[in-house]
Amino acid sequence: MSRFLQALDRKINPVFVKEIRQSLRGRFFRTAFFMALAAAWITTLFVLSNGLRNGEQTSGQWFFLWQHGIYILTSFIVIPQLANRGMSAEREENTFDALMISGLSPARIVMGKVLAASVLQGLFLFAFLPFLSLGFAFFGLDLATSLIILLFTTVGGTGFALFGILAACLAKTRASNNLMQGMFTIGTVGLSMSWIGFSSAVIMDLGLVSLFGGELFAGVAVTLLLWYLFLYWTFAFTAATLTHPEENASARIRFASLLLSLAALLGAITHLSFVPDPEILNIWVVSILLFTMLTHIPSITEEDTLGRRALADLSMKKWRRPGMSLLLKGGNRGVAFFLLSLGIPFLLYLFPVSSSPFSPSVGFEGVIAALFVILALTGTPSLLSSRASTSPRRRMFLRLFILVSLPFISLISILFGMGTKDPFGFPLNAIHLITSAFGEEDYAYTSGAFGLFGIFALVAFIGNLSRMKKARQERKSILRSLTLTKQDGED
Amino acid sequence: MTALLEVRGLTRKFGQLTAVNDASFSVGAGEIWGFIGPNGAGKTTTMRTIATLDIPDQGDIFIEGRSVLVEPQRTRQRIGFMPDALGTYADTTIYEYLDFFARAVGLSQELRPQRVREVLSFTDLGKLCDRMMDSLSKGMSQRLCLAKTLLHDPALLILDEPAAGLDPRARVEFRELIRALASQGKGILISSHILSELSEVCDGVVVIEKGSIVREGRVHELTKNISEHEMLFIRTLEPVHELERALAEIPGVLKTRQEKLGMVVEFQGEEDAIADLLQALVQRNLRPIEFHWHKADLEELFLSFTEGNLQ
Repeated sequence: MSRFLQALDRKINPVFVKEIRQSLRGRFFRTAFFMALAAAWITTLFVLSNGLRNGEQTSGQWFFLWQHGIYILTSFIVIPQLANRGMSAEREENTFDALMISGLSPARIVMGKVLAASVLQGLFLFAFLPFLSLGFAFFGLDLATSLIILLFTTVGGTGFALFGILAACLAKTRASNNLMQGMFTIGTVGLSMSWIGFSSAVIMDLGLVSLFGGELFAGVAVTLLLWYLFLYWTFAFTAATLTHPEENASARIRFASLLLSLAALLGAITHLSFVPDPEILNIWVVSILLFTMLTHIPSITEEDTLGRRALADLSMKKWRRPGMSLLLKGGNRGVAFFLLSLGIPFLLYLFPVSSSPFSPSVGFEGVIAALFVILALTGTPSLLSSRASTSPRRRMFLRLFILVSLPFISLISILFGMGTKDPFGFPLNAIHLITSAFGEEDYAYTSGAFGLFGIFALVAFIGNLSRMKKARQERKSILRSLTLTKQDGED
Repeated sequence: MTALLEVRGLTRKFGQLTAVNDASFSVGAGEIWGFIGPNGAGKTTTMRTIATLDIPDQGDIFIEGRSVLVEPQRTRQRIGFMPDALGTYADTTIYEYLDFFARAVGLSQELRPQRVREVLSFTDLGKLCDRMMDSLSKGMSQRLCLAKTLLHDPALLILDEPAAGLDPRARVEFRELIRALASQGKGILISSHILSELSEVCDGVVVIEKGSIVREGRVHELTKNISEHEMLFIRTLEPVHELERALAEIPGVLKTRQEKLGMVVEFQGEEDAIADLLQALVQRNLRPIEFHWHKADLEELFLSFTEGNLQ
């Protein structure tokens, strides 16, 4: 038993312990907790005195909605704010440097803070469960729908906590932190309102079963998988923002991006097996392409300072660590991975997974258009940022552009791709969205704007390939020099 | 023999400003080195870079022969960095604070309480371990910061302005702690504006100005080289202005300056000439009561090597 406790003690994350202790003692959490409980009690008393008296069959739904609404507000606003404050306080209280050199890895620091947010959310859930379960006593609630909605709210809260931490990590000054906090608060309030509205509609009218049909559980599983992998990507990115610039922080981001694109591939296959619609395939393919590009962002925007320094140090015969050369990017594997990952999604068109009649040619040119836009938006800034003459400030701006442009396209794609038809007659998926910018009604990829994107995409693609080739040569030259240096040392 | 800390050609730029320019120096085990320079000279940038909190644009830093650029995680285990201000965690006691960092550096459950007690005892904070961090005085905060820095028993200590804001008693106590640490074989690089503090404890100094190292070496060697002439301190029972007037007439006296109750004299001549100088003062009935070699301190060194300009 003592051995187990010792092992547990070694495994336990110190940041997690610290955050939990500080939060439970802090005024913010205690106030929010008691206010939420008070609101839950008031709602209960109100519904008990009104809803039960009316004896309506939907009393349970109303009661659940009220309680769930309060739970959403705590999950989407209080928990992310706690997580955000936990990270930003490290800078404000001058403890950030001590934490960075404490021996804890950035990943462990971020993970400790996320875990603490999850446990605090668990406390809220535990406190709310008796109230939420009371709803079933008042009738009208579908158990599966309620539980799934509750599950989404809970995992959503943890995810937004991670975004809160990311926002705090990105803000390096007090002013930028205040700005980030403001934007983040507005965002979480907006999301809370949207989710309250959506969950109300689902619980009162639609029901998740009717919304998803036969693919309910597959849909929920894939959605959760994608959400968690997206969170893993965000986690990797957050940890990278704290990592020593010379350490190889991009490996985890690339791995997370790869998992994300594989999950999207799984999602495409699952979805298409239920709904054999080529437009759905298009949406998924664009998602896979977006996630795949995320895989390449870290490597194609790196400053290559390591390679330059290695070469400079070699001339001084200072660098005698052959292992370091492996950190340099490029090589055949890099080029092969780059080409394969962009090509794989298109195999879905050649080998449709649906057994129903399927016309893969519909919208295919739209996907090509999307690929061009994605390549142009990511590849061109990458190429520009890799130039030695690019100033650090411009490089930072270019990286930011890439990072912002991809989620922006994703968000627009998701927003417009949710339904199938829209009452105003607008095109309703990512492909239409992108291609409609270039033509009038059809996929007019021959138009001037599209051609311009195509040229940018092509130049960027060739440029990045040649850059990888150059990196490979640089790596070879360093390895050769290292071998010579080693021989000199032995002599 | 490998130096404990070796800084080689360190350069750090912030846009157009070169904060540190090609700085090189080293610190051995068991040595205390002062790092002195005017505000904005590049001391903190250099120290943060040694502590792996910043990245140099050129050059490298080696801790026990390992590069902080190549192996930042490993070198961090050998460095203890004490910043000029202690960051405090809200709603946390001194013991919890130290326990958190003890966990962070990977001390096991058996070793942790013992090590925390050791550093608390060393810094004389044992009785305050249940106090909340935000209720500590400046002196106590500095002690706590040092205690945290010592938790993982680092070989090299980087102390950035540790005596800033301390009262005289706390300064003396802190100086004793530094001496005790050096006697344990730890290398210490310490920056301070209070040069008299450093001169009491330092084996060597690095003088930095406008990002460049203007002088570095052992204190006794630097003080020897501060002037090519003899430096003498003279105090007489007669008023200082009379002494100054008399000195102006004596051959070999190059420069004089008033210090405390006497004069510091830059004198050119051998020991015979110095004896003649004393005799001349007696003959002029100035009644000398102090007459000895003047030992330059760090303040003089600093003033002679730097212009006192900011970046």
